[in-house]
Amino acid sequence: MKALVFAESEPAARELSAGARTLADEVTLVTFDDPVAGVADRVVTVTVPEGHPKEDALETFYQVYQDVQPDIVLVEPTRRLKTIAGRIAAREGASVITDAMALADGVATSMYFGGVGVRTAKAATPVTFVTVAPGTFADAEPSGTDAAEAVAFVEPAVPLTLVAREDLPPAEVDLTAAERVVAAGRGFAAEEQLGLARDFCQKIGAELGCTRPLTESETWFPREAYIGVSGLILNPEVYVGIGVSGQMQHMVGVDRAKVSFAINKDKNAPIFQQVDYGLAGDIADVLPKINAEL
Amino acid sequence: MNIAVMVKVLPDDQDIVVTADRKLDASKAKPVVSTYDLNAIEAAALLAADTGAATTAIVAGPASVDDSKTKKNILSRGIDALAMAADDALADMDARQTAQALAAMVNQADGIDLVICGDGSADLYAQQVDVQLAEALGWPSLNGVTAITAGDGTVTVERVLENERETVTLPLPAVLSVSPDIAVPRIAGMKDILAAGKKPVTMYAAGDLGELAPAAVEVIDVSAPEPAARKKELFDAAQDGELDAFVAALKGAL
Amino acid sequence: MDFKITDEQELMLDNLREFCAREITEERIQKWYKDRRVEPEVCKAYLDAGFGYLFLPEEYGGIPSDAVTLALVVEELMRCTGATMSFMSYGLAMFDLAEFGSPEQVKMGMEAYQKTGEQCFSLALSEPGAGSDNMSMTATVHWNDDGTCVLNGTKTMVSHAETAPFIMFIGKDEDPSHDNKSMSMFLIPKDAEGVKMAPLHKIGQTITNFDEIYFDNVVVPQDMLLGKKGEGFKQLMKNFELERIMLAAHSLGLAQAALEDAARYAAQRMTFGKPLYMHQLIQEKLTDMETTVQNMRNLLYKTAWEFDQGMSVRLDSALCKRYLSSMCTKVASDAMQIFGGIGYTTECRIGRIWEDCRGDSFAGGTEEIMVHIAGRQVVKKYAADLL
Repeated sequence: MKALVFAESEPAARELSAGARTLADEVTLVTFDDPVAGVADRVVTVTVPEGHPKEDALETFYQVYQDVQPDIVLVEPTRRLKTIAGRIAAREGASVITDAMALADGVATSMYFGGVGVRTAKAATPVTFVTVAPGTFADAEPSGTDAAEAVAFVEPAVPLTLVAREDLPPAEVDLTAAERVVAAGRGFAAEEQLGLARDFCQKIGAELGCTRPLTESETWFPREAYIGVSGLILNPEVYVGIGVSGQMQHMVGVDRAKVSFAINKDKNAPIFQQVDYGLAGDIADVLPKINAEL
Repeated sequence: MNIAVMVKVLPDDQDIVVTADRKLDASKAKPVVSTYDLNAIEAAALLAADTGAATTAIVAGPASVDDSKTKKNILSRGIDALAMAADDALADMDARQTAQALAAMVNQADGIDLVICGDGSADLYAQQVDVQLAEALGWPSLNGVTAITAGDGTVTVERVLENERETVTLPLPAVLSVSPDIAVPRIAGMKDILAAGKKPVTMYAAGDLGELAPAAVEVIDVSAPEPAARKKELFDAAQDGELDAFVAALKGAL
Repeated sequence: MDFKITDEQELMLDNLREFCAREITEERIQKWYKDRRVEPEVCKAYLDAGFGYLFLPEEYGGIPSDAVTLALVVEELMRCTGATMSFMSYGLAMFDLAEFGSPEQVKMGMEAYQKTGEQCFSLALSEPGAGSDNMSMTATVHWNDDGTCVLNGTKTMVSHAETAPFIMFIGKDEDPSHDNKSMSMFLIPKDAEGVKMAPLHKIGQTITNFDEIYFDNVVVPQDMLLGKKGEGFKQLMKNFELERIMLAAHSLGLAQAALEDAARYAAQRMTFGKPLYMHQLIQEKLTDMETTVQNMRNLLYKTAWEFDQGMSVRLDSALCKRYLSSMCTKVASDAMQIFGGIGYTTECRIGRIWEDCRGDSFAGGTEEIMVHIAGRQVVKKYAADLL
């Protein structure tokens, strides 16, 4: 078995290479710019010339793919790599299975209809292409050599022009690493009211995230704070949903919490059926009292 | 410029029933437009309004997607024409097969310069139809697009990735997958709803689209997840002592 | 018989639900009930989405429609919000104006309507001594030789008086006596000299402001006359049947909201170890409420359909108005009973729905006046040969 790993970030390169090691006896990692040492048998780096978006590395990645002839391709689920891996799969008559939460014997588990269902599927083609959610191989240990090689960039047939690029401001919070997570929902009537939630988080040592409406229709939160099906899927010890109604699209992101709590004005809010402890009460009224007691 | 927007029509997840053996039954579900494809339609309509471009929505799926209300819904949102392949031979397609069916219709529509896809479908959210389609057409593609500006034979897009923001120019023809943030779907005007039924619709059968490739992904099972066992204890802040009991439970978990 | 609604109607209702979900939150509704008005931005958004153009003549940007569609929209608006959203009356007012106004008056009204989406005029009709008995009104119009008129009188229970820029005034020409049938209508600016108003405080439907208006020697140019001199009363009666149908749709939507709230509450509230709805007394209530609401809907849709077919709805619109406005209060009252004590508080919206329903018994003609209209029609229908 030969595995090929596409990763952009170092943590993903480590985790996916470690995971690949459990599936294959030969692991090749392809990444941009800087090699990651000690995780794969062979590390290939691709440097994209200035003026190109990184997606223009498609032909270069494809050359490595053809050279390795892998049985399985594990991909970090980033926008860029979904494009590069997706197009390589298309050339090979295959299709990428994306956002797998588990991968065993080539069978990938992923969400269906935003968590209404869970789907298991495997490649019907000789090569399996799969993007794997962070944490799937959390227990696997990477091993490998320090051998790294830079491959020459292969110009694509239709190059794109990178006009401008900037780093987004670094995420203020890393909810994926937080043991305690609080989510603010539509129940917050005004942005100022979020101060109550922040105080609460400080009291219990939690990070604050939100449901989709608060990043989309209201711009109170950065995108990386959005918990739910097209945002973060978390594994916290404690989850507290405040002013969250309990829609599936959000709840799939916190369903794996060990203990969960909810505060909502509406006694009939669906979230109360999905948590361990619920408190029916108005945020403006109960949060200050709770903060005082903590 | 001619813009084609790819639209998936699928069962409304509100109507999906979990059966006793935890399977999902969508047989009673109404067909609806996949949520984020509404944002793609809006992006296409706004770009067309800006540039005077013509817009066509393209749909491929089982016979059930041929729903008169859904067709009018799509056409009430600033879209000029609809091309639809509705055939049970096109049921349960994977991303590759979907892209092939759509590519055949894009080619037959003739003169399409720009294909716009939504961020991901409501059911699979695989985010692969755009790239499979781009490969089938031999066009460049980009995803995560949050703004589109038309140039002379090009489009310049802004896109937001996990940790960075980019502005990229693509030569046309090209495929774009747009982020939901690109545009809020409109509330269609009454006049547009009434006019939708009069817009041109071209129907295709599976046979018109060439031979469909075999499935690249084999689905083993789809089931409702086992619900996490929760205590579901509800306290009422209006009752004496219940807020304290809630706080005590919270403290116990910390 | 075909009870299926069209794709277009379904899409309109889908869009209306989306509009309500985006623009009409419960917090906002509560604020509007306190403020005695809906924020103009939301009125404008409602108009711009096209709902406010339904039924208006096409030459004024209107959208050809029918009573069934309009009734469906009104019903759904009330069902979604559980509130008296009077958007539809804004459009109906414009519809009346388009029918009787001079091109200049219609243009003026339309400009005001399009600017804010709010009702462009309030209708100053009822008087302290003349409610449903319009002939007893004593407000007068004195016609001067110099091309002006002088308006005098007191009007009461005028909806939208504080927010509409114009007032539609109706008074008797020269002579206030009961037998004088000559009445004229005027469209005058709210801030005309001699016009004063004082708020009336309703117990429900407070989202719509309600005032007494005093006309004290208000001098206006005669070209503010609306329609024909002396024919004001005839004009006034012209669209009452359509208005009754829409008021009935309002009643139906509120009743439906009450029923749904009650059913949802009964499904979740636990009493004596089981959900509330498992108690037979509650089941009976829910069953009767559902029957009533279905009856209300059938009568309303049939009447609206008859109106659209050009059939006379003199009898049916009165039956509809009477039946739906009384039954909605019954349904809301039963819903409140299912909620128990909490239903009598402001913690849930059922109290507001009940208060609003109660008002429907008076709005647009009391239930008793509907008997006055319908009773004789019933005899005409079955015993015309004996009359």
